[in-house]
Amino acid sequence: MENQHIDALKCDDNSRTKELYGRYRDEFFAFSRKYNIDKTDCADIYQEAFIAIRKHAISGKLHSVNSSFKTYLFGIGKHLIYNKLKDYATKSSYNPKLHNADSEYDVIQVEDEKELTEEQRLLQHHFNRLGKSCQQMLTLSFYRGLTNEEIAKQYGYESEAVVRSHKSRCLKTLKDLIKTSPR
Amino acid sequence: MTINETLIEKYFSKQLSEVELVEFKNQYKTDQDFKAEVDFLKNIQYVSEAEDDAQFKSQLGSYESEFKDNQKSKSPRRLKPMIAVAALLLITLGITFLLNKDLNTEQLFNTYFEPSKNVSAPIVRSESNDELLNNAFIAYSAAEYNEAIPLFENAFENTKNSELLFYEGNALLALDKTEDAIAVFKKHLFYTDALRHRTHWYLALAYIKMEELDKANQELKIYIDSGESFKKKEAQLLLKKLE
Repeated sequence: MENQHIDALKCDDNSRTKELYGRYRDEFFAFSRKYNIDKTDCADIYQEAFIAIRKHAISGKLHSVNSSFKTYLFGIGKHLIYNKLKDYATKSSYNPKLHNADSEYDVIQVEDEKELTEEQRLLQHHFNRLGKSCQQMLTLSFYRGLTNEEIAKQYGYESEAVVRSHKSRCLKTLKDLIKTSPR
Repeated sequence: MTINETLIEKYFSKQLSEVELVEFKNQYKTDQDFKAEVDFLKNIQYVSEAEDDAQFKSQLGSYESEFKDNQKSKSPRRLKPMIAVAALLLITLGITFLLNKDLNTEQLFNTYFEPSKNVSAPIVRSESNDELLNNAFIAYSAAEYNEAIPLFENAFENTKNSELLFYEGNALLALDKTEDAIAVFKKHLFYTDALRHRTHWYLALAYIKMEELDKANQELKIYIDSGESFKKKEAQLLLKKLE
């Protein structure tokens, strides 16, 4: 897969991500309509596919993918379209022929969005009370899986030690917020 | 009692060797404190992932609005059906907005807010008369807002340079001290300096954060009418989302 596209998603490159979004948008909408997807659902599905492909970029999964960015994106989209068709089928009769509307793209399975537990929701509430730089620091460390050294290099901190102490302050603040909050 | 932080860091950055992985699993099984810390951090992982996704989704939403707007202006013959679709979408968005008011205002704020750059004073690391001001801007540019705020306050007291209120407000907003930020921005509006108009943009964002959407709406209109080009497109887009 095109490395520059993976990097754009991984590194939050706004202008390149926007360019990618625009590049395949109209074709994807036309593709969705082959499956009788409502016009109003096309954008939602396209965005969900983008979120999923970005998750795969962040987790490192895309580096071992041989297909092009577009094929992979449309493969995820196809999976989401099938889910939407199942949704429609609960409201009207289901047309199995729609599953064969296009054979150009193989379905790429993606995990359904995980619901947060009650404990995680509470944590989310306190997480949102942290300053922006702490939220970013914890996201980079624990979701993005960057090492202190990588964070220092990529985000302009003086050294790995500065990152370490900033992160540890953020964690302490978060723990204090949890401790002092009335339950 | 001390927790092996390196082991934990390597776990989250997926860099544990086989030997370290065995050690990690062993500690997770036998050391209660270690397990509690790892579980806590795993929860942060889930939560930050959810927040990161939500932010990205809202970013995609803003691309979508732009592309839709562009298409609308390019195809006048299809104007009527497009208006109908847009109206339907707006209604849907409006309902979703009302249902998820908390989440969306937070998301909107996070999408549009970034502290203003220093556009007033060059930072000169010197012993000149303006040392206080210099230090304030150095701290501000390094995102050390806690340090910057009292320095701006003092510098404003000494110099009565009203632009400093603008930066103080930004620093407060970045620290989630939204009510304080609003008070400082309102004070700034008593002056007529070069940054006065921009304060309306930041006031709008602060009101969004406080879920005072009528006031946010009003501030955005004032800002757009002011003719400032800074963040103008964003202001127009945001206003559309609120209306």
